[in-house]
Amino acid sequence: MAGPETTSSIKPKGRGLRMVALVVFIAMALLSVSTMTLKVFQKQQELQTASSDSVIWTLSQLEVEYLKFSLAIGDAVAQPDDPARLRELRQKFDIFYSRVDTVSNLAGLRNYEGGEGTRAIFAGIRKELDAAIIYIDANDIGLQAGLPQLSAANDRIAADVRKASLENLQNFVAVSNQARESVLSTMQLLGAMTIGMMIALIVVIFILFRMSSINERIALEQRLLAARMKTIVNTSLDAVLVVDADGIIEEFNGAAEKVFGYTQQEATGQNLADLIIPDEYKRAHDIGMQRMRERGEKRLVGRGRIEIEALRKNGAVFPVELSIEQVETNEGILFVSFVRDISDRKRAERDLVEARDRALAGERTKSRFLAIMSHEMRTPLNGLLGMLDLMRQSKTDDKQNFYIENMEFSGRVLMDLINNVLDLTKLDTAVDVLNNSSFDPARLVQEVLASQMALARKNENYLNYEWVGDPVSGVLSDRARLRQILLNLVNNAIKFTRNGEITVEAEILEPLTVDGRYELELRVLDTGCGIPETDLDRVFDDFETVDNNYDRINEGSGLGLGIVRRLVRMMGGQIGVESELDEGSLFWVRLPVVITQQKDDNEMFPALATLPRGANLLMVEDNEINRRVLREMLESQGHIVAEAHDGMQAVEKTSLERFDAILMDISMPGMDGITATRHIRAGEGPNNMTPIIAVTAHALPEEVSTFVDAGMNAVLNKPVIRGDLFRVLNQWIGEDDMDEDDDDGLDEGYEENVIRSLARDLPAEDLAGLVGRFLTETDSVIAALADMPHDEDHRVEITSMVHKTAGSAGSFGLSDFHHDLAAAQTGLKTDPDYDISASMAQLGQSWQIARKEVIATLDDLKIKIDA
Amino acid sequence: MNFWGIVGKTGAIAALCLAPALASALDAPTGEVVLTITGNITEKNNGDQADFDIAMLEALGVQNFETTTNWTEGKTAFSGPTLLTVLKAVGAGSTKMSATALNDYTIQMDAGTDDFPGPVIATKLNGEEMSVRTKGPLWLVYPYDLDQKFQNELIFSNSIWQLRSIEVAN
Repeated sequence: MAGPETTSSIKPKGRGLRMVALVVFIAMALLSVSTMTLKVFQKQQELQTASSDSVIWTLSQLEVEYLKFSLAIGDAVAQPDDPARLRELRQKFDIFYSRVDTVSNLAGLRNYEGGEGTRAIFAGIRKELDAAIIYIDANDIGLQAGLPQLSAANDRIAADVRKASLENLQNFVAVSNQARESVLSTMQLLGAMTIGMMIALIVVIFILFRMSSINERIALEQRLLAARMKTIVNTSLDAVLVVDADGIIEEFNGAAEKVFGYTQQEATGQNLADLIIPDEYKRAHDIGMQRMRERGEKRLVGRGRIEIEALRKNGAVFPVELSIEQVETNEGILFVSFVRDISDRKRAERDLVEARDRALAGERTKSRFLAIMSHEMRTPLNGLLGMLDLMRQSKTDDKQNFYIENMEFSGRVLMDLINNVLDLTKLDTAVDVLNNSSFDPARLVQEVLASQMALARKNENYLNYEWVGDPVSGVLSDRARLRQILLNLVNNAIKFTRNGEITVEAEILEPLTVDGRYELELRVLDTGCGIPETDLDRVFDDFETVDNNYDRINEGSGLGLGIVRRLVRMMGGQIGVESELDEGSLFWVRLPVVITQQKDDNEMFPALATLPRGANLLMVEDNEINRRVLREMLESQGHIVAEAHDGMQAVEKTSLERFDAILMDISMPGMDGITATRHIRAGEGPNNMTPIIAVTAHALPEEVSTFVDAGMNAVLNKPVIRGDLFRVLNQWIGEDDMDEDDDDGLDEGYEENVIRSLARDLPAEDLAGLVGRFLTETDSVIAALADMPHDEDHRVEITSMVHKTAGSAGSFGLSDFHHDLAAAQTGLKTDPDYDISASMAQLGQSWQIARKEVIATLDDLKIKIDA
Repeated sequence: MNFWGIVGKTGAIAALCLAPALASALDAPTGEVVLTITGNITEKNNGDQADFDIAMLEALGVQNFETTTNWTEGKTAFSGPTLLTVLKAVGAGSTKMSATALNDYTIQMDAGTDDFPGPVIATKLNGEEMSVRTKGPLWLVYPYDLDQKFQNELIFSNSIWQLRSIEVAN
């Protein structure tokens, strides 16, 4: 959903910062204005609480009172006998006296700097007046007598009164100026502040205006976006449903109408569950919605595409692909679901699966048919060949020998053909499990060439072998498969060459990249007829034969190279061919291998002399011919052979007598070989540990696994070939010299074997890393096991940790430690009273010992690790 | 405002309204007449006017308070009846009035509604009667220090000393 994201991205990044700055500015402006206002208010208070009286009045009144006093003196002098005039004089004196007193004390002037002179003048006036008081306070006669003195005093102070009045006035003007200037400066400051506030307001208005215009633009963009979204939704090919948290449908687009069959009007406002959710999903839907509402837990939302079923208006349930996203809006959470009808796709998928299943079934039927046919043909052929083998050892003349030889040759050809078909079938049905072992590749090549010597001689061909580059003592690969590859290639080369040479070259190729692997390249060159260029790319196809020159003398199924290609692919290798007509061909095979120091893990073909003679064997076989063939083969090696004709007899005989090995046929009337094996293994009889070797024409791999499950140790294919028989017998009852007689001197024990053998196969730093990681991990696991509570709550966790560590310990061959871990695991799993703490402590000790061993081995190998 | 303030205030208003009913004839002054009230009054003792000597004024009940003034140095203790008490005594029909001093200084003023703190006709300064020489014998003063409202030009100009007569307006 683009909507909410776009909305949030429009938000300007600096807006928050600007808002903060603005708020700070306004706060500061408010603070200064309120400070100023307070100041102005205080000033106003000062003006209100004027500390001076109407000074000008008072000052002018000083002169007025003086003049009134002067006039009263004049009046009294004119008519000294009039008591009213004397009384008037006294009052005017008193009033003037009090005025002088008042003016000299005026609060506004009292503390004025230049007031000393004025105060001196007033002191002079007061002195004159105080001197006059004796006349004023005297009786009328005294006053009459004092009139000349009063008049004289009055004349003396006339100038002073004038001067005092004027100076006081000047002082007052100065004081007033001071006050006025103070008020003026405050007013100016207030004015400046007001202008500042005005500017700030203009800025704020401007910012608000800008913000409002931005908001308008955003709103417009959102409207456009909404319109665009609407268009997208409406034209979407997928059904789009917008549902609120209660499951009510809010939007239902055109595609949804088509998919579900409801019109938009019908769907809008309806509950999603009622409309398009099939009955069997309704409960789950309701639970899901409730879970979402109560706990905000979402199982479908935001999980990408989910395949589910939906309901059409006509009641049909159909498969849909659904994705749900959540959108937070002002009205709450909305869910936007995109729904796609995938009925067609599902149908196509189903058809495809059916077609594939049918094809696979057909393929299986074919394989099965081939397997059964090969089995059915091999059994009688086995009888024929066995009899021929025996016949040759009887008394025959030359002519008979010639016939026998020819019969045997034809039989072998037929057997090869059947074996090839069976191999192919096996390969097609086999699981790709490689049975890797270490072996000497040079020796393998020599073996193959030796086995083909007779055939080569017949075609008058020379066989050569050459190792190119530095020889290696061993490689790790699937020896049997490699052998078959080489055998088929050499056999093929011999067939198409007359009077020529077949050369096998072997070479180890260095890895091309750092993490690449070594490759073993085998090249089979012949000087035969060659392959036309047009046929080169089909020689590896099944049932292809390219025979031109030798007119059907090249008998073959055309399967040899097909088998080779399958095997090479299975082993992760490559195969190719180059050829010149009439010059010869070159087949090359490259297989990834690991270079080892070990020549052979085991001897595939030990000298027959090592097989102990006189082993006591039980042969379980219902077919008389097969019994005779097998008996002849075994007895010719000096073994003692007992017989059982079915499973029941086998069980009886094995309960009475101990055998060195049992050869067990599988298909038998009554009790079959598998059941018999289970009985033998299950009982306490003397043969419950005896090797049991299946002898069967059943050759499919899945059957082999049932043999092993039943307790069989090995499988021999019918017809039984002498070499295979003795090899298997030797493997199970021979004097087992492989383990005791290892040529690499690995005699120090199992655990060092693993790390040392890794050291041969891996670069030192890789091994160091591997072992270092193992040590670190195990250290931490052991520490964690020791630290964690050893109670029931942690038993499962502990068991799991022990199990994991056991796996790694086994991989590194730390057998004692591994044994202890396995024991602990068993105890943890089975014993409710198991002492976990003691076990963990023991594991800690065991690990320390194992750890020392590992470090010692690494030191010995001169490998340094970081751990 | 304290309890007595409230009582005084209410009392003053009641007095102004009910003065005729409660009126009792003013005694004639025995000492020197220091204050003459004329105009819109009901109680008189000398023709159309009411004359007071110091004793008559003090008999109306006095307020004692200390305050600084613009015209004296330091704290000054005043004592005398409140203006409203005096107006009540003469049955004044209004609080609007003009006051005149010995030097014929006259002001128009309103006695207001506050008995005390409010304008006081001081008869004593620092416990002594005032002579004309010391702004006596009567000085209309306010308790300037008690309230900011008593510190402005109007109040200062109302503070008339050597008060001699009051004419109550109609």
